This record gives sequence, structure tokens and C-alpha cells, in this order.
Amino acid sequence: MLRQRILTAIVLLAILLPALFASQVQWFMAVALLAITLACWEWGRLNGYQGKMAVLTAMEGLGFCALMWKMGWPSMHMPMLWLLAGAVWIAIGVWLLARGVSSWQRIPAWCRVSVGLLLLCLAWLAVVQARLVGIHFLLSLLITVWVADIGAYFAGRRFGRRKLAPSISPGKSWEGVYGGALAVLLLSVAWAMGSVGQSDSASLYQHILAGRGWVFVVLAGLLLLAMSVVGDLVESLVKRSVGAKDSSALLPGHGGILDRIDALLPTLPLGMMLYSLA
Amino acid sequence: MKKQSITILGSTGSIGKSTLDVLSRHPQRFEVYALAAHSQVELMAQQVAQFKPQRVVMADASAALRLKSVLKEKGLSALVESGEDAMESIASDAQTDIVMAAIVGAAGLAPSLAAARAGKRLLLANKEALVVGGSLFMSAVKAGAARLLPIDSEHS
Repeated sequence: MLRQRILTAIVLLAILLPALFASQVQWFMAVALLAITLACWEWGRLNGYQGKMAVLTAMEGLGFCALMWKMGWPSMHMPMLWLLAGAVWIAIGVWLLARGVSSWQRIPAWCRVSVGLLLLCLAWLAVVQARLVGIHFLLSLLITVWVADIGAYFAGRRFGRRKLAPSISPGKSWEGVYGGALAVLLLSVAWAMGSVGQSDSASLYQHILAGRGWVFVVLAGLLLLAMSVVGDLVESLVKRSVGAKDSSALLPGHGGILDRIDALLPTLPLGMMLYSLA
Repeated sequence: MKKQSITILGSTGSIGKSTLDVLSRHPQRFEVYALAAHSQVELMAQQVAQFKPQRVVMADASAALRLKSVLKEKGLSALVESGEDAMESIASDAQTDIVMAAIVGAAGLAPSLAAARAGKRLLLANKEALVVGGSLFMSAVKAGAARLLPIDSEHS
């Protein structure tokens, strides 16, 4: 099992890293598009669509992203869109988490699928736009989410007592969230202070420090942390409501694509919102 | 007639400035798709305000950071890209018809090559492109079916 997990990770990195560092941005855009298309397929299946219907969902996601690509949206400055996307994510997160697992199934399937599809496509737009701003900038967003996850894991294991959301994700504790928050705060402050040096772009935190100051660096870190937890919980909630453990078996040993990117789905658009407002 | 869309690599240099001066006299024929410069933030901010390009690239990352702040003060927020790959991207994007390559030195080679491969109408003011990578460059022009117009008198 562990061997399979590691092999899959190696294959994924062998695809992702060259695409990330390729001087032609199109490669990264295409690989991200493939991942989002597969995630759309998983999303359709998690909401009760099977066979052709799930494939159709994936094609809709693919088509929508391709259309945005064709229209040049990735390189457009669009603060209002990101503000709206950020607000939608915060609203969805709060609403779903307040209502719990059972409320999810009461929303009609077509509605769940469409909203999810839209948010997946926005995540594609956000990751691609972040890549256009620069590799260092994109990494500052991705690493924030990973550090939050790692901080939460260790703090949760060591100190975890009070359950965060027992009905949705029994493994998570408030102590884990605090650990994640501490890790993200240290990371964001360090990353705002560091010099831009020879990197290809400034990090998100350097942008926020230059545009808004220290208070906003801290607030941005905390907001990203909170939304990475929300992304995680929303996906868990959806899986739980249909009794699935993984979003699919596309990545042997890891589960599905959505399982890997759940925390990124809200944080990428929010990161672009913070960049646009900074 | 549809406006010709132009990318200027090195817009804050003397050739870049002259090019923009010419463009400003023919607003009905040309529109600026993208501007790229190395580190002159103030001048770039003025050019962005005047020509409203769709994309702005600074080769230097800290200059990109400063430009974003300066543009914000002017009420002109923009997505400011940085780095060499961003230069290549604006030089080869389907949305641009003409590329003015006026970046001095070998730094201008990669984006000029990208424009040649993408089959752009390439106005070449960077002689290093031909000196350093002559045959490589000409084969890229051929492969991309680009049209090469030397701007600097030293070429002809």
C-alpha cells in the first residue's frame, strides 16, 4: 500500500514539476486543465451521476475552462470576479458546515453539480492566473496550504482533544487547526520579510506587505488557513453524505484528485482575491 | 479595418519609447496588447496609464512588485506578470499580431525566438538575436512562417 502510494506520488511529481517550471506556460495550463476535468468527473459521480452523465459533467468543465482560455481570461485582471468567488466560498463553507451532512442531499443534484463545476473551473482559472503572476507567487499559495495541513497533522496528533467537526471529519481537532494557524503565521511573516532576490516573482505575502502592511499579511494567512480547512471539510461532508471514502480511485494509494486538491479549491481563488486587492 | 495588436518588448528603452510615440499617432490602426520592461517602474506606470495594455510584464520581480503598488496609487490596478517565461508568453500569444523586440542584449533572444516560432510579424531591433543566434533564429522564423523586419540600421 505504502509502495503504491509512493509510486503514484513519483508519477504525479514527474508530470507536475516539469509542467510547473516549463518556460511555456501552456504546459502548466494544460496539465491543470486535465486535473480539473478529472475532478469534474469525480464531482459528478459523488453527486449521483453515473457513466455517461459523469463524463458529460467532465466535458462541461473542460469546455468551460477551454472557453475561458480562448477568451484570454487567465491574463485578465479581474478583482471583482475574485471578490465574488471568495464571497461565494465563504458563504458556502459557513452554510454547509452550520447545517451538517444531511442538508447536502436535500439540495437538488443538478444544482450541486453546477455549483461545484463552476467552483472547479474558477479554481483552474485561479491556479493558471497565479502561475502567470509567477512561479514563486503560485508556490507561496500552494505551500501555505501544505504547511497548514502538516502543522495541523502534528499539532492534532500531539495535542488533539476537542473535535472540530465529529459528524463530518472525526479525525480533525481544534488543536490541529491552531497548530496549522501557527505554522501558517510563521510562514507568511517569514515569506513577507524575505527579499524578492533572484526569484521570478514576489510571493503573495510580499505583495500584501507592499500594498497593505503587516496586519493584512497576518489576516491573509489566517483567512487562507481557515478556507483550506473549509475546503477539506466541504469535500469530507459531500463524501460522507454519499458514504464514499475517497472521491475516486484515480490515484492508486491516494484516492481521487478531489481528495488531493480539496483544500486548494477555495484557497486559490481567495489567494487571487488577496493579490487583486493588495 | 481591424486594429493591429502589438507587443513591445523593452517599452521603456529608447526604441520602445519611439515605438509608442508612433503608435500614439495612429490610435485607429494599432492597439497595445502587452508592454514589457526590465525595471523602470515610473515610466512603465505612465505607459500603462496612457496605452492601457491588456498585459504588463516586468523582467525583474521586485520591479513587478513596485509597479503593482504604483499602479494602485494611480487607480489602475493590473495583473503584473514577471520573469522570462512571461516575456515569452506575451511575445507568442495568439492575441498579438506584431512584436517589437527592443530588449537589448542576450536577454532579448528568448522572447524574440518565441515570437518567431509563433509566426508573428517581428520588428527586430535587437541585433544580438542575429549575432548570437543567427542560424537558430532564421530557422525559427522559417518554421513559424514569421515576417522579420529589421529596425536597427546595423542589420541592413
